[in-house]
Amino acid sequence: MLVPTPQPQLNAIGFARAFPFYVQLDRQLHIVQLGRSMQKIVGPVEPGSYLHDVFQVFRPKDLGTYENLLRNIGEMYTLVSRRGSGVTFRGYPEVGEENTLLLLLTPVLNSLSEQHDAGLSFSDFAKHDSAADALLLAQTTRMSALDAEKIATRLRHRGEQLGSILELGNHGVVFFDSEQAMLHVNTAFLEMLGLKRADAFDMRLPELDAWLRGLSDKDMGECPSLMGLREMHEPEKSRTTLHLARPRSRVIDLDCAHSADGGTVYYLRDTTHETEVDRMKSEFLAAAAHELRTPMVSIFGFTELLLHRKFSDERRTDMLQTIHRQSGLLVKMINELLDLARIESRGGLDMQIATHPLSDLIDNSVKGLMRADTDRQVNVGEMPAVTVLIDPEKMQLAMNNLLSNAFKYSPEGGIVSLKVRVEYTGNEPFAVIEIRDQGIGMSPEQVARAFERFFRADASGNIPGTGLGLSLVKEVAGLHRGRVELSSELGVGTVARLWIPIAKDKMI
Amino acid sequence: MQKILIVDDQPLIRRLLSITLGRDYEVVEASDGASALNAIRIHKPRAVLLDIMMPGEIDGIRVLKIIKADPKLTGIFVVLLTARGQADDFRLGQENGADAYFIKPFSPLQIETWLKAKLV
Repeated sequence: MLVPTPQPQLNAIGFARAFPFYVQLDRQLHIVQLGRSMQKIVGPVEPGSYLHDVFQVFRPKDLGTYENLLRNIGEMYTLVSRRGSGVTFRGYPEVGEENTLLLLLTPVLNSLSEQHDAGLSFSDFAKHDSAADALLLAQTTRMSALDAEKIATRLRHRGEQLGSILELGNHGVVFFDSEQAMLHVNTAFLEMLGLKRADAFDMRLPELDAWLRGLSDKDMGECPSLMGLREMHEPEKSRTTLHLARPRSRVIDLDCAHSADGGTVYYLRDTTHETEVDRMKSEFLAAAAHELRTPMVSIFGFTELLLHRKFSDERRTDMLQTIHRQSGLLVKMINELLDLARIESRGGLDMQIATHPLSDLIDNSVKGLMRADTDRQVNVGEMPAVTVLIDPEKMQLAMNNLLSNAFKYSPEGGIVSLKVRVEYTGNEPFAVIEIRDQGIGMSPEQVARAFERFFRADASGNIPGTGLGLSLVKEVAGLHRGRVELSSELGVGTVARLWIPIAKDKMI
Repeated sequence: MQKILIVDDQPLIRRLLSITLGRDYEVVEASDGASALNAIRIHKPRAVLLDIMMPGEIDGIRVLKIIKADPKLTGIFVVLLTARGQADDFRLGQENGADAYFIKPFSPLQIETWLKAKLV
């Protein structure tokens, strides 16, 4: 016995949901009804509008009458809406109730922009619509493609940024892959190791090691090996110091790190300057400690003796004078150290540079000196009428130091003269102040060390001084973009020349 | 009177020690390492008060080594004076047989007391 196969039933709401793009026609091919999504595309259609007025029918070619239409059941139809943005539809015809005909259509949309132009959203499609599937797929693909492109762009930018950061920095960086081939090297690295980019790029890790050994300073022990450093996985062991003799003498801190893909990064930091500054600082501290303690020995020792022993009046006075003088020296030394520290640490930031007549500077300096400690005269030569660019307070400090040196180091007397001439360095005019004495003078070795902190040309201790004066003059001159030079001959005298920039537009 | 040699490049420090010790000892002075070695051979002092940091080729540690290495100079007490209170100097002094070590600024009366206890 034949059991009838149960047919799925679709009510009106279900039908509308399942075929949102349907077109219902009567026998005269007048439109009876449109699916809700179709209405969105073609807009409001008067009931009874002729199919061909709303759609252009591409397939089948001879679709003109209902009979033709019936003959073509089972064929694929292609229609394009005449209204809206001209959306193409494909689908199949079905015979509906009361001799109506149903065209069950689906829009052909190839991109999200077409979907957008048609005024459709994903909710306008039925779940089985291939167009929606194709669009979803397209959307997903496009989004992935966009994402991938964005990520790639971001990575490329990041790479470029990192590249420029690495290039800009003065630290050397080099990457090797797990096969020990060089992947990236920056200019600072090449410069530190005296390599050309073209030569470096072929280098493998062992070759770079050999190159490094060739540059290393043999006096500073064995050159650390990059290969060896690579094997050290504890962070504190993957760091070392290179002492290079070539291409020039350098101290370099070398760090090594591993990348996730088995590569190695070496990071080189030139600490030559820091090392030198550290050495100078500790030398300076040792010298300062020595120099500050020396007057303290007299002050501490003589007061102790005066407190615990009886002396003749004459000797007491003598000892008290020594204490007083040494305290004065200590104060002077501390003041000069503070001046130096202030000038150095501010790096000239608190300089009050302005234009001043050169003659004012010279007059004030000479007068200041007269008041201070001597009745001896300075022979001041003819003064060019120029205006100089100076911080008057600091420059006068420098001038006072030079003038008082001239007197201090000529204990037997003799003439101290001051002359000024104008000289050009390139286009820059300078006032060159020359202070000449006929004092004890210095040997070439002493001249070479004269600008060192605490250096004293008089080791006898008979001439009071801190050894800081010329350091200060040098600092001040430097901050004015000027300079100071000394020439001297033992037993003949010393000439100090101070170069101060002239205000160009004020040249007379 | 027993002789004491004071070696320091600073005249004021020599003077301070010379005033302190001049009452009870015959004081000889030298201003650098070379003249100190000379003075030691000439005067055969009982004690040398010796600055470490001095100009010239021969510093205080070198003078100390020479004194302690020379059998003819056995029995000379060497007292080091230095502005550097660093462990390094102290260790160098000890290793080379210094008898005492005073850091500048020192107490001259303490040095006198130390000498009086040793030079009986």
